[in-house]
Amino acid sequence: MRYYLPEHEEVVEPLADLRVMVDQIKLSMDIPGVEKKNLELKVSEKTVIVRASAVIGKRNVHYYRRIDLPVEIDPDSVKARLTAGVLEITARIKPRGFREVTVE
Amino acid sequence: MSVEIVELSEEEGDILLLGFPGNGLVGAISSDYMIRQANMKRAAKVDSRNFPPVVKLMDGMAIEPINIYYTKGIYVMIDEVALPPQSIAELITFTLDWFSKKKGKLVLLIEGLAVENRLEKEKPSVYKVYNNDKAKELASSIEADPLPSGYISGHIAHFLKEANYRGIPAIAVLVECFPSYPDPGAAAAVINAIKPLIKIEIDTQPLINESNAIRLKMRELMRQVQAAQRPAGYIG
Repeated sequence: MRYYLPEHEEVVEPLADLRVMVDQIKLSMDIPGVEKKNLELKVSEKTVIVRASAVIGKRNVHYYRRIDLPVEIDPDSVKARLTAGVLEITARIKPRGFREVTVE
Repeated sequence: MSVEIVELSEEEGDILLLGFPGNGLVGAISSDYMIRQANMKRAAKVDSRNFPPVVKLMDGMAIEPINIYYTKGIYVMIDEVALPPQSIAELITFTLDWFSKKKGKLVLLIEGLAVENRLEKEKPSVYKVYNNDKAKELASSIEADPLPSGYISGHIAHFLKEANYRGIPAIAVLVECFPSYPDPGAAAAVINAIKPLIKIEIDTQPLINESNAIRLKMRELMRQVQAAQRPAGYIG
């Protein structure tokens, strides 16, 4: 989605790659030009939200991406790393607990 | 289905270099950069009624998004539109027919090799694959290791086989790249690897410097490529 902002301002949806494994997810996002201080990452059990900004040439670029996960994760297990403008996020998938129900 | 190549100049090249937007868009980024840096001239336009309805705009003029540029005996084909695998195969076949009629001496294909640990590699590895002994001899000046045993699928395999049928020496030059993102760093590495063969002086530092802008600009093409095709792969 493209938003209309003043000249030299741009909001872009970054490319992302989500891999769901047996017990964890690996999510990466391409946010070229972004430094850690200009990056905001929020997570819940089902959602990851990334907001970031960078100056590329003469353009002020604002990144925004919300990803609804196909599995539930443990937000306390989330680890994130930013290397050369690529954000890598790993998180443990919440184990599904089964409760035995007494039939009346 | 037929692909039409309309020549716009009378230049004759011995080497043809193909760059398609595949893994990491390495082929498209490196071709575009070489064309700009070497100030190559548009030598032919390429189109088919079966290609997606996309045109490139140049100062208000709509032109074909697939073109062949020329300088100093080298043709570079650049494809700036995401094509489905069948269309890429047809494009390769018709282009090799065209090059064969021109009695071309060598054809190169630049492609990305998606690796999971790309972030850990400041300098991605470059590999080469050739289709006959003559190509192997010519490839000796490419600064790359031969790809070890395994299988190659998709348009890279099609390219090597089709060139062989026509008796044209062919080399696929593959560079490690991001699986899902445009990778100008990989494009720079592959240009540096083939420079001794194509003998065109190209400084890749500006490509590294403008890497962020290229990643930003190319993300839409990357999305289209991911939607249009399953990138060619290597199983080692």
